[in-house]
Amino acid sequence: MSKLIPSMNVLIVEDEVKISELIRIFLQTQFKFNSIITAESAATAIQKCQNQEFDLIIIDHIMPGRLGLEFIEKTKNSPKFLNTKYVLISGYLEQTDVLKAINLGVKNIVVKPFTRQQIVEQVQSAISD
Amino acid sequence: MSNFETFDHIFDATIGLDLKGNIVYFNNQALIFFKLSLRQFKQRNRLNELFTAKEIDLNQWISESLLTFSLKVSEETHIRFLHDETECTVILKLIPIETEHGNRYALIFQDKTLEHTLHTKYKEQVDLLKDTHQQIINADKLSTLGQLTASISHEINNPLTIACGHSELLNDFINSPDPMEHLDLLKSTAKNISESLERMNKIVINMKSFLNDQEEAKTYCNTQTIIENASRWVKAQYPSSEIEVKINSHPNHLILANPLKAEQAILNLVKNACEALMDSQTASPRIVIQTTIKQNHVIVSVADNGPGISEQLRSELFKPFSTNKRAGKGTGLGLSICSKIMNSHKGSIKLLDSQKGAHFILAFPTTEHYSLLQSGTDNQAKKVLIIDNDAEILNHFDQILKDTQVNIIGSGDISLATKALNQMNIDLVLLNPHFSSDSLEAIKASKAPLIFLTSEELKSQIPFEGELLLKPYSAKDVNNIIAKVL
Repeated sequence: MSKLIPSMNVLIVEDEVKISELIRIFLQTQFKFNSIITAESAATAIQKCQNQEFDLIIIDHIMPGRLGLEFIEKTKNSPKFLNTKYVLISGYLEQTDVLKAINLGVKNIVVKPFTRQQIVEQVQSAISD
Repeated sequence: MSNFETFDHIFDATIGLDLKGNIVYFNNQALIFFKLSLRQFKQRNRLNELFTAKEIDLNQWISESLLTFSLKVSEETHIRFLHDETECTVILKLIPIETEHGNRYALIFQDKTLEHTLHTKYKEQVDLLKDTHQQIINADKLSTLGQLTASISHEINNPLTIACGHSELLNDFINSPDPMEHLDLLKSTAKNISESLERMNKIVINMKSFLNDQEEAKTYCNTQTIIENASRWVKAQYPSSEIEVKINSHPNHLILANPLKAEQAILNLVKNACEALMDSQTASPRIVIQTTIKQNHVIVSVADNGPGISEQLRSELFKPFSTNKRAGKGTGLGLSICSKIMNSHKGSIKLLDSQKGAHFILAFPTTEHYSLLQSGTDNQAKKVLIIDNDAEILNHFDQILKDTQVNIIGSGDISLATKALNQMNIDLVLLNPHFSSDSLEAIKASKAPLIFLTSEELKSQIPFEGELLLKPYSAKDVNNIIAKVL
């Protein structure tokens, strides 16, 4: 059953459009968010964040240009992102990346390839934190 | 007239023999060589009481010399001492001498044991070095593979995610009350799955050929495509850098190569250039890659405006482990691998003298020249020259005709093809006629039977008389028309 979470705005940052679409569909079947916006790179994501505040950012780690963790590091402490939750997605994480994620306070990590259940669980855990 | 005393002071063990084979003399070195005391030596009257020879029949060997009273030198042979069973390697020399007691022989033992042992040891060491070198090259491959793991995981996990996710969606649609309501979605979901699987398949095929040691079959490749791939790599690897990659290549410059290996060779040069430019923080960094045809070769030139290569390194450049890079930055194998790849393509790699930066050239034989180098092994086979600048088309024909009695010579460039026509006895020409009409005249002038490669839509534009082979050039059509003309 869809859970109604009307106040939440979600940003999905993923360079592979088909994957961000998939995440959007998965989320839409389980949650009713206010909006789900997608961005294809960290740079585009930063632009989108200038116009809007997001409650949840689901971000891929390895992307051309800036990495997902770098984006989190850069945004996390600015006042606009004080209440933002992050879910990190990656197909490949070095041990140091995992430690960095933990240090940045990112508790929810989804490893590719993921199932609907995995992404839904991590999103659920992030937003109810 | 001489006697055995001459041999007293020489450094080789010497034994004097009379014509019946009795020992009549031995020098001091003989005592040392045979490890016998004077008394022990004196007790031995004949050679077969001292030693046996392994590779030669000693009695026969000596008696051959007795007949002609001539000097005789043996091959390297092993002898075994009878009293202590030890072995050594010697060259035997039998010298006839006239003494006051009549004709005698001096048998000289040139001890080669030390040299022999050293040579065996040396050979072992060289083999060991060769093995180690190969192991290091493999290790470098593995370490490159390690670096690639991250990108491969990323590469493969993305399509895997798409395929897995969409199969979940597919399941949803199928289990919904009216699946046909979502027909378009079903179709696009299925398409996403199959495209992702195809993408993964390509990655795996690429990986396999990277790891495969055996020399893979060579196919027709367009140098332009390979160079564009290499330049894409620069953009992906150094997205924020200002390195400008200038490409000046020609779509007709085809080579017969293993595309991955050829790309690796070009990429290694481009990588080195990038690293040199980044390390030296060269202002307005630039890499120029261009192709030209020179003396039957497609020359791929890679030049940068970085700091260049030191005089000291130049001479060692293509040997393994020579590197300009800081410790830990490179293995120094890149260029030695390039050199190995070029050898396996009957080509070469060279560093040119340049005022500024490094300028390398890779010379691949043109497809026509490669065929000429290859020919001679099978003179019976009919030679078919196929002229089309689409490498895929040439590979298509190669695939169809590979098990037949026909040798194909692919050509992407009409002037090179004309040259090949004059150099080789071509039995048939298959020609894509969409080149300029001047150059077509030259092909026509060669008098070799001609088949035009064309399509239903374009066949009316064929400038001369000739057989037509229409797209999609099915195996059946190709074999039929070639059999008909030949």
